[in-house]
Amino acid sequence: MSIFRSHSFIVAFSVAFALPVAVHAGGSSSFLPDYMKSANPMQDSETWDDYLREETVGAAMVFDGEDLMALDAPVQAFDAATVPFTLRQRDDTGARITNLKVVVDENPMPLAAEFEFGPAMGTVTFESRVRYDVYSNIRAIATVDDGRIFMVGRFVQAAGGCSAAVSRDPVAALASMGQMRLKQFDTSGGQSREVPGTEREVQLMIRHPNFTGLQVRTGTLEHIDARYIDFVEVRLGEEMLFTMTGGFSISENPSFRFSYIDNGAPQMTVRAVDTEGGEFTETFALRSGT
Amino acid sequence: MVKWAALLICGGWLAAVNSAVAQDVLAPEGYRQSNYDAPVPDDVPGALTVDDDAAYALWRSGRVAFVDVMPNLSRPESLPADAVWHGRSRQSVPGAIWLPDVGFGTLDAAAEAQLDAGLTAATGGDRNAPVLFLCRSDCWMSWNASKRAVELGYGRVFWYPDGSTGWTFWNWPTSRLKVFEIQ
Repeated sequence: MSIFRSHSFIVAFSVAFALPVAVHAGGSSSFLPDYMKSANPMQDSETWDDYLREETVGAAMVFDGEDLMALDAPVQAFDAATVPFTLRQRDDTGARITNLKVVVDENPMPLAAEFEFGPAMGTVTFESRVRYDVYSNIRAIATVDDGRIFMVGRFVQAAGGCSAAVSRDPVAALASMGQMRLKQFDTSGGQSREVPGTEREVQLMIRHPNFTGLQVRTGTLEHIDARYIDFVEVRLGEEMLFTMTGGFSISENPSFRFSYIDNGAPQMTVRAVDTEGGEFTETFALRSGT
Repeated sequence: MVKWAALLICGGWLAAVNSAVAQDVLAPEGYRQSNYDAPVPDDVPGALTVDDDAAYALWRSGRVAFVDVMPNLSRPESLPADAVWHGRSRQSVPGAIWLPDVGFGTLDAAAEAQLDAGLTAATGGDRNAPVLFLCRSDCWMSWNASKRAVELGYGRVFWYPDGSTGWTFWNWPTSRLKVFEIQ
């Protein structure tokens, strides 16, 4: 463990101070030992070179992010409408991720979501699900507190997720729209729950069909109008945890699992807004609150 | 095997079934209007059907304009006005021009304009210049487009019914096409 840590420290150190590493074809850093390399590294993408880079980061320099964070996404997905991804910031990087963009290259709406993270997110662990229209890269593009931009990506084989049939009757889905649940995981490791500064982990689930406008009604084949959550705001007491500005590439019934640093606040407040002006708010009592 | 052949010859009803199976897909009077993903006829009136090898040879010759008419994903009208929309990209024969709207059974004014400008760009306005249409296999879009080109007066129209399906099967080079834009 200590070898691993010192290695990653050296790597982080060298990247931070020495090298503007260009993101190359393999997508994974040549510094990494084999066991840390991905089974499905990002592939060359003409879409990215053509307009997506300009659209998402402009002319800014983009550093290889493998030493800052790890992105897990499946080699092949069972359901292209719900492809899970997890972003884990590596320990000891010393950087604070302030902004994260999740991009699926070949989706008609490539920017799945943009997150703004508050300091209480700590070392970021963030998990959600996206739709996949055709085989392509998924990219996590993180801005850290000194303004530098880091990117990691994976190639996922999944297709058809933007027009895949909705999982429930559309009418029923609209009726229960906006209901929320918060699942709190016990990550205390036996520590007293009353200690602020402890890292907690929760999963926020919002019921919403996130209609893409590409789906059709079973039987009639009429298109179902687009309607998806395009803004979410999560607060810990008064403190901002994160906001999300999103598109329909976030899967139906959006789910966000993330860790945060407990500030002792007794509740978490969520506000979500969809493209038809629907606004949904919920306050959850935290078991960890003092 | 011999028994089977004998049965085929003896049974008159079997012969009838056999001919029904071998029957060609019928070409419509005008254009195919729906259900574009389906088996296609052997020919387009006035055009020459080419197989994979012939299409490859035509491409290698560099003298034939390739026109890909695979449709693109169209932007849902219900999408918010400020939502970014890119449609799909198309991996196909290098150098082909992509006219995604011209393979349908009925064309609106914008599609007519795309066809007109696209073919003019591809052939330099010469109706005797050779032009080849493709989409993918079992796709009526290229059938419709070939027929339309013949009716527009193009004299050397090739139809490549296997399209990108056949092309990529042989691992021939492909490139990412951009939708043709009217200048």
